[in-house]
Amino acid sequence: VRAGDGSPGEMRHFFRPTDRRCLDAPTAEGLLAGRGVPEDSPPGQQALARLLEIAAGPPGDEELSGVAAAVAGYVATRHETRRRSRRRARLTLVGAAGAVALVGSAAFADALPARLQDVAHVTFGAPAPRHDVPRTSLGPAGHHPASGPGYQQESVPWGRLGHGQTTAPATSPRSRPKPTATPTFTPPKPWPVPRPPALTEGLAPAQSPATATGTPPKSAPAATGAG
Amino acid sequence: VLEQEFPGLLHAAARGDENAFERLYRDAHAPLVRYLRVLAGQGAEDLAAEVWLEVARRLGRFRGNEREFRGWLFTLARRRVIDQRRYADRHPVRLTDDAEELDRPAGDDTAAAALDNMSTEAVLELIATLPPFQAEVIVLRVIVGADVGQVARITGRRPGSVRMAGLRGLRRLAARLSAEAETRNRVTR
Repeated sequence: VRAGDGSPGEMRHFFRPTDRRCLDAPTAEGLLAGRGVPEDSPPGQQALARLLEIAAGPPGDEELSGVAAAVAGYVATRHETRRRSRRRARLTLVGAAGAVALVGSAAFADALPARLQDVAHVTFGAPAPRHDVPRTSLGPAGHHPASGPGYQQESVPWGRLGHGQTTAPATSPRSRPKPTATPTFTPPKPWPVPRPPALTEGLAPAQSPATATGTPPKSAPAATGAG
Repeated sequence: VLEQEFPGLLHAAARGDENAFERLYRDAHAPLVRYLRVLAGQGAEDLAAEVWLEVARRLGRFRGNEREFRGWLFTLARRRVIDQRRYADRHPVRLTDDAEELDRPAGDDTAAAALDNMSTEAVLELIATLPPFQAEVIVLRVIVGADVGQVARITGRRPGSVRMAGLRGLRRLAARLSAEAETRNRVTR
């Protein structure tokens, strides 16, 4: 019988290696687990067992020739890792110190939101928050030209900000303090147009007459302009 | 295998003890290189060095026993091999114009060499002629000493397919060895 005499399917039966069938699953499992094969097993299996035994044999000198290099690499890596972790710790420390300084200075400038200011006041003696004054994002309460006692801030939509105004009032309807017994003053509408920035620059909010007296300005407000 | 010594060595190596690291290296390096030789061929030593550097970097965060350490080590090695293959796919190198010369099959020479010399190198070369997954399973089970579950975890396959791959690989090896033995007997007569 030659290879060309039959179909490939038929020829496969003639040329199938017999040892492939001899190796059953339990024997194979024993070989893979390193248990070897019985002495009376076929020569092919014994050769296979010997082959696997050699593969799992003890390391030769050549295989361990790179020990020194590996240990040197380990030492270098350890140094690098230690240096990085130190640098990271230092950065964390600096960041934390910066954050503490920032929050602390904000607390002593009475620039924190009321609740945080309360906490700061209780914790490390920062000034107590002024509950009777609405808080804006422009700075500490009382420094705003129109934030004197009795003044109720009028919320201004973002789209209607006046010239020279950089931010909108931070008070939302929820955070706005409840009206007190003090009579409130509502400024006349429309609010006068603020001066151009060239004229108003350099005039600190504290210098505004509105801040000093607590009364609304009679002329157009000179400072950052509340809209 | 370090067994009871292992936890102390691992702890010491994680703290920077060179001797402890050397013990770990001496214990696991030979199986690692053999595994890589079967999977990656010539670049096995370089890959093994990279794996050990990664081990050195991450040893402080490893938690587990010796068995798990070996599983971790060979998982790292396997990932390196995959990375290397991907790199080779992206950067093909043509050494000659005649690609057929490179694709010439090895024939039965590897089996003969394995029987004659019975050196570790020859045996690994013979195992490397198997389909990749079968070769990997045989190396992990026989050389590394991993059980079916561990091999399944390392390779990301199911235990059943690991068992089948091991069985098929061994049958293939047995067939090659017996064919070689028959040829020899015929020549001797």
